[in-house]
Amino acid sequence: MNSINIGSLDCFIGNKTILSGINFSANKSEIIVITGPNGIGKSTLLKTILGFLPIQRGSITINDKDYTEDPESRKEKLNFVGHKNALNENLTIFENLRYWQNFFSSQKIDISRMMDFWDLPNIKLSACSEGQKKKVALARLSITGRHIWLLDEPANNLDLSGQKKLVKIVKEHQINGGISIISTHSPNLFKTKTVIELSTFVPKKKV
Amino acid sequence: MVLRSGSHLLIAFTFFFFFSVLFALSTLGTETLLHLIAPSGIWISLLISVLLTLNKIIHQEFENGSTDFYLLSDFPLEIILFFKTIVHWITVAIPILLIMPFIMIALQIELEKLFVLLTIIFIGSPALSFVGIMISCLTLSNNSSFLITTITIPFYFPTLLLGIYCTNNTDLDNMSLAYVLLSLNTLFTITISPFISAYAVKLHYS
Repeated sequence: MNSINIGSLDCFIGNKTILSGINFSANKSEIIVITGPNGIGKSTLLKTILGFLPIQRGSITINDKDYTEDPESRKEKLNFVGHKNALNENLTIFENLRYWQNFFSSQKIDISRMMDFWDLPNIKLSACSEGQKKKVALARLSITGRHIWLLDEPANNLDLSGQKKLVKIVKEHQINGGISIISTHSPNLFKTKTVIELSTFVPKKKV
Repeated sequence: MVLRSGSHLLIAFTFFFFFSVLFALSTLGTETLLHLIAPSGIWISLLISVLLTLNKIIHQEFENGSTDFYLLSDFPLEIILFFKTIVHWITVAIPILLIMPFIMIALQIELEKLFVLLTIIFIGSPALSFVGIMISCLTLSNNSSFLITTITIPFYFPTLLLGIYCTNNTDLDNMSLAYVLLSLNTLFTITISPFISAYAVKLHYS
């Protein structure tokens, strides 16, 4: 049973509240798209859920257990693709994926199958384009075996076929019962009803 | 754990070699002077070799986002950092131990002392790596890194002083206390370093 519940969460950068009272919940096999203009706080929201930024108000419940005060254990339930790809330039694509597979022990998935799916050549990462690096980061999602995915603008740098493949793995993840929370500028890509427009959560300025 | 490929090993290795040889050359072959400063030369070049490479690893991984994934992973950050330091020590210290005989010729140290000297460096050098990783983790936030580096340099002193003392007095019989202290110093550093480093990284995220 997978579920995540965000209750009246506030997001901060430093001492400044940039988003206030965010409420949403996602159950098994749900895709949530978060959208909004640049700088509204999409990444900040995802980082707060991940536990890279502290929570001052609000709650986060995963699988009916309250993880608000416990970012350490919360991190072990989540998976993430961000702006930084977290890949070593000196290793090949295969070595990078194998390296990260060692850190997520729960499930062993065939890496070469993932590389075929993403159409990745086994070359040194320093010879790859930004789009290819993004594909490697997305391929890592599948080999970690976590059920809740947080994707921060995953379609960036991807070509059309890459975007189709992204939608395909998100759908596959959905069929397997996983939850995806995706921040993006093209919400139509993922064909979901749950679209959260972040500009409605910007706190009103005090006069 | 995967051994990281890369050029930093070569940097440390060549640096150690040339630094030691320059040390020897700078004395213009004056034997008494060389005998006095040779041990310090070895240890200081060892320290700088470690410093040169370690900072790069931690800061690079922080910059490219790998640290985020270490935090997300199934393993505690303490254990990951511990193994990272061990791997760093193996890749930096072992090549240096291998070229020690040549360095000893350059510094005019008798080759009979080779085994003792290698043992001392073997015991002492892990402490340098483990202290180094603590400092790297503390300096993740760039704005105060110079200050923190300056403040934390004294943490290397126990290792350096004991190491130099041991290297200086290889022919004494009653050296056991210094050896024990050097080993204890290393053990102590290995024990506390992963915890302090991990705490520093987590502090950076909150």
